[in-house]
Formats: sequence, C-alpha cells, structure tokens
Amino acid sequence: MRVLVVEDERALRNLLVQALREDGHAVDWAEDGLDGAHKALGTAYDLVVLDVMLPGMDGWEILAKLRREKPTPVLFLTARDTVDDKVKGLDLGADDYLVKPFALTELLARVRALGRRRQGTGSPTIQLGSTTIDTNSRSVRRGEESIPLTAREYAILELLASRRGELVTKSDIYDRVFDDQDDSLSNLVEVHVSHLRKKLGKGLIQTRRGHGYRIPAEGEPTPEGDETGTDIS
Amino acid sequence: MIPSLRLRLMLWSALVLLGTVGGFGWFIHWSVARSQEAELDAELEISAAALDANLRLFLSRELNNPPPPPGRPPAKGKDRPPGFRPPRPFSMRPDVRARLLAELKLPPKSRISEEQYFGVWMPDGTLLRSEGLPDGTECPALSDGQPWFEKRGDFRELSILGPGRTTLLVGTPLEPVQRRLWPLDRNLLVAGGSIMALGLAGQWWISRQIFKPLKKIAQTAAGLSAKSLEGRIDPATVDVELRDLAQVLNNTFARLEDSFKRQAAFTADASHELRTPLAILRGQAELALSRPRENAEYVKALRVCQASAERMADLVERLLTLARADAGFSVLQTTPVDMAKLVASVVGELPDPEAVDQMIRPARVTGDPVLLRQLIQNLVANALAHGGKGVRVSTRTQDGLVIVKVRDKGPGIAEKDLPRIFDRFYRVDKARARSDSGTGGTGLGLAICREIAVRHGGSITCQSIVGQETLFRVELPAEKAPGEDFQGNPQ
Repeated sequence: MRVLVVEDERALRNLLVQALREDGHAVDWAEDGLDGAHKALGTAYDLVVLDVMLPGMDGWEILAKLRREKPTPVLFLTARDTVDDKVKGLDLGADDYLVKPFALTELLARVRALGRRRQGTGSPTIQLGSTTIDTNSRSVRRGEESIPLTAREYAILELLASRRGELVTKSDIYDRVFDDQDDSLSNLVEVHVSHLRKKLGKGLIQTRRGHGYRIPAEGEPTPEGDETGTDIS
Repeated sequence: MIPSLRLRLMLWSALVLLGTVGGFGWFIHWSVARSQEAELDAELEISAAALDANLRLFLSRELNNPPPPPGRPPAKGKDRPPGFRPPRPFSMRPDVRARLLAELKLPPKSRISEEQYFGVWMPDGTLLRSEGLPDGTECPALSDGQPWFEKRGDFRELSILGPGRTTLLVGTPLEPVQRRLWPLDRNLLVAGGSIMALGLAGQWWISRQIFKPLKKIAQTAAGLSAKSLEGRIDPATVDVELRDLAQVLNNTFARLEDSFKRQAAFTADASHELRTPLAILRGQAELALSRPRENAEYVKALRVCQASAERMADLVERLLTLARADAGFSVLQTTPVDMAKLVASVVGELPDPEAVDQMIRPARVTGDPVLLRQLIQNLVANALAHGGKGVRVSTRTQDGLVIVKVRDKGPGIAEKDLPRIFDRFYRVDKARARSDSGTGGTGLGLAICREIAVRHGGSITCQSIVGQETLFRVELPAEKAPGEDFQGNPQ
C-alpha cells in the first residue's frame, strides 16, 4: 500500500516511515500541515497516517479538506485521548484513531486492516489456486512450500491479488507500490513481475500488452498460450 | 439587619406610606377641626353680640350713672377705702330690674354649641347675671378691649367688653366638637388603613417585578456555568439598570472561560509533550527489536531513545518546577544573592561565553539562588536560541529595584505573540519547536521565568521590535539595607 505519514516530530516520523516501509508499504511523509494537505490531496494514497497537532494546519483541518474531495482512509495518530476528541475525529471522517504512545505492532496491524477493508476483503489471507498469500505475515506459500519474495515483489503480488480479475495498469502499480524516494530506474515493474513469474509459475500473472497486468478471476480458464514470457511489450 | 432585600424594601415603603397617609389624615382632621372651631367661634360671637345688644337695651334704660373714669381700678368687696362712695349702678325698680335681667339671655339654641353659658360682669367686677357658668369662673380681664377667644380646659370661651365697661363672657364645652370629629377620624383610620394595605400589596407586586429580571439573570448565569461557559447574558434583553451587572457577569464569565480554556490547553499540551517522546521511545525500541539488525542501526535507535528520554526528563523537571510554583514554592530558600555574580557565572558556563555581552553592576536581592539561576539561564538560553547574535545581559539597582535585562538582536517576536509568550507551552514558532527536537525547548522556559520572578515579588516583561531586537526585563525587589536584613541562614 502507499501510505502518507504526516507528523511534525522528526524522530517519530522517521520511525513511522521506517516501520511502515519494513512492513512493505510505500511511504511518503510530510512534516507540517500545509505540505501534508497538499500531498494528501495530490496523490492517490491508500492510507494517510495523520497527527492532530501540526504546525501550519492541524489534522482536523486536513481531514475536513480531504473529505470534501477524496475517500482516502485516514488513521489519526494523536496525544489527545479524551472521548470527545476521538468522537470528533471519527465524526469528521477518520477511519481509525490511535492514541500516543502506541504499540508499533498495533499501528501496523491497523494499517493492514484498513488496507483490507479498502480492498473489500475482510480476510487476511488470499487464495490463488494453490498459492496462499498471508497479508499479515506478508508471506506466500505454494502448497506447503514457502516462497521467498522481496518486499516489492510481494507488494505487486498483493496488489494484483487484491484486485483479482481486474486489469491493473503499470501506473497504478507505480502509484501504489513505489514511493517518492524510489529510484524509478531500479524499480521497473517489468523486472519485478518477471521475477514473480519465475518464483510462482508462469500461469499466475497475465500480461495485457500496453495496458498492464491481471490475475485471472477464480474459475477463469488460463490458456497456456498467454503466459509466454513475452511480457515486455 | 433584615437579610431580605425585598422585606427591607417593603419595610421602607411601609414607613413612607405611613408618613404620607398619616400626614394626610392628620391634615384632614386638623383642617376639619379648625373649621369646626371657627364655626363654634362664630356662634359664640353671635351669642355675644346678642347679649351685648340686650345689655345695651338694659343699660340705656336702667343705667343712670355714667361709667367710672377709665383707668380706675375696679374696687370691690369690703376693702374699699372708707369714705369712698361707690357709684350706684342701677337705680331701677327691683321688679323691672328682675324682668329685664331675665330677658338678658342667650339667643335660641345654636347649631354646634348646644350648651352655651354666659356671664355678665359690671365694671366693678360684680357678676350681673350668669347662666350655666362653670364654678370658679372669674371676670376676665380685657386690658386692650379686644374680643378675646380662649380655650380653658374643656371649654371655649369668648370675652368682650360690653357697653358701660361691662364684661361679657360666652362659653361652650368643646366636647360636642370632638364628638362630631369622631366619625371623621374613624373613617380616616379605615380609609388610611385600606390605602396602606393596598399600597403595600402594590409594593409587594412591584418588588416582585423588580426582582424578576434579577432572577432571570441568575437563571441565565446558572444555565451558563452548568453547561458551558460560552454563552453570555445578552445586554440588549436586560433592563438598562441591570446592564452594568450583566456586563460584570459577562466579564467574569469571559475570564473564567479563558482560564478554563488555558487550563484545558495546558492539559492537552502537556499530554502531547509527554506522550510524543514516549511514543518515540516505545516505537523506536519496538522497531529495533522487530528484526535482527546491524549494530549501527541499534546504535542509531538507542540514540533516538536516549534523546527522547532526555527530552522527557527535561520536560518532567520543568513541569515539576511549575507545579511547585503553583504550590507557592513552599520550600523557597531565601539568602542574599548578587544577580551580577549569578549572571557572570551563568555566562561563564556557556559553551561560548564570548557570545554574550555583559554589562553587570552589583544588584543584590534576597531569594532562592537555584531558582534565580534558572531564571537567568532560561533567559540567556532563550536569547541565544532565538536571537543568537547581539545578546547582552545587564544588571543594576535602581530605586529599590534590581533590574536584569536580557537583549538579543534576533528576529523579534510579533506583537500578537507578545501577550502569550509567558503562557505554558506557548511557542511562537511551532514548526521549529517540534521538528528539531530539543533546540526549540519545551515551551515552558519563559513560563518558569515568570513564576520565579513573581514568586520573588518581582515581574518580567518583554518588548520586541520585529527584525531588530527583543528585550526581556526582570524587576526584583532589591535586598534591604543591612539594618533590616532578612533573617536567613547565610551559608
């Protein structure tokens, strides 16, 4: 998932960004309210982690502004712990509310849960034939065999699997899987997809030349002819 | 003292009513009595005139002696000098005299004076004739010859000089007049009492009307404080006389609301300031432990944790200082302190003492050296952090006051921020305060400075010209002369 972290406290921001990246998300960050609002409105994030007390523009304002335009899920992260504050945040359209100091694992679990809700699947595992994706442990098994994937490869696979049967364009993949700091040259989607095919078998991911990729819906025939390695159009 | 305003009001109006109604009643009674008396007098005059006329008739016929020369005292009784021959007043046939005397009487019954009486005295003082005269009535002495009305006991009497220097007296008891006034007085009492009762009832109603708006204000005020402090009494809906009260209440509410808001803001700020480093500490430790890492990563994580812990320790220390300040620094140690030496010592401990210009002259105060040192430290650190250049600290004593000034040539403080810079957790530049954790301080330094200055009986003020300079000025009471030195325990 692509996540935006808006937090003015540098140390906290750094650790949030690192933790979310290590959990496999593409993370952008903003250090004040104005920058945060600008980025949240300008990019299609899967989630915004938002501090309430921010210089420039506070979290409430950013949320209100965002909700006028986008349904991007927002997780409030704040030191304000009164019921009134929580109710205010949730009523303004926040999707979740976490009070500082929080457990990092809880934050990551909530971020994953919000991601699942966004994709419309409540279950933390996705089944693709004999391949099982566990979104909690971010691991992939084929039968009993565990398949090691890099973070990028896993992110692409999870994105495609969550939108099974739909076409996912390359720019979609760029938006969701890579953040501002990724070097686009070293992150060619094609390279990651070809690695995935090598590890998971050629039949799983289909290429629509010039458009993007898809994983066929359940029960859909997967003609052998389409799964040639000629995915670079 | 009656505790109820309304009751007091009632009492006063009852007094006023009693005064006016009673006064009016008395006036009516008095004027009716006067007119009755005047009527009585008129009747007495008529009677006297009738007697006079009768007497004239009597005398013109029967009195042959000329009247005695004027000024001659009326002699009577046996002690007249020998050889004195009294004038013979009447030389008339006794039967005629008796008949005439019998005719000498009062006119028919009068209207008010039912029981008149009279007496006629000869010039020598002998009673010529009388009717119903009360016992012991003497011949009245009319020196100037004018008719003379007199109230004698329960009687009203008129004396006049009759013909031939005779003296006439007509009188009547006053009792009938008083009897006639009785029903009037009774009516006056009844009417007055009714008016009083009516007036008091009206006053009761009026006083309720008067207190109604007060009650309304009280209700509004009660509603305000129970729910929230945001509402106000609308002066437009309040009577003109009560607007001052409404204004005073509104001002009080505003101050209360302000202080509650500050309190709430302080709590929110304090929780934010404490929870943020805690969140960093916890998150960083969790992140470092979440997977095996390189040594360098652990070092970095531990450094972040250390910085957070230090920041929290600092914050907790400052919050405790403020809490103690709120409790009144109950353990305030007071010893003589020379602010000049304190400044020199604080500046000497700076990493770069040359950055601070000192203009110090002896300035002795009595106070807690630790707190005063903190005051100087905070101000100097503040000047260095926000101004950086042109920092100058000066101390001097003037008119019983020790004045410490800390000046910097930094960017200055905007006018809108000036009133709030001594507030707890208030920061002029929030972004800077947070993003560079540490250098922005805790937002409590100046609040602590103010508390220290105030607890020492002094004050702290700040003036600033944006883009030029900022000047903090601390005034503390100077140490008293040696004779009245503080009874401290000098170390």
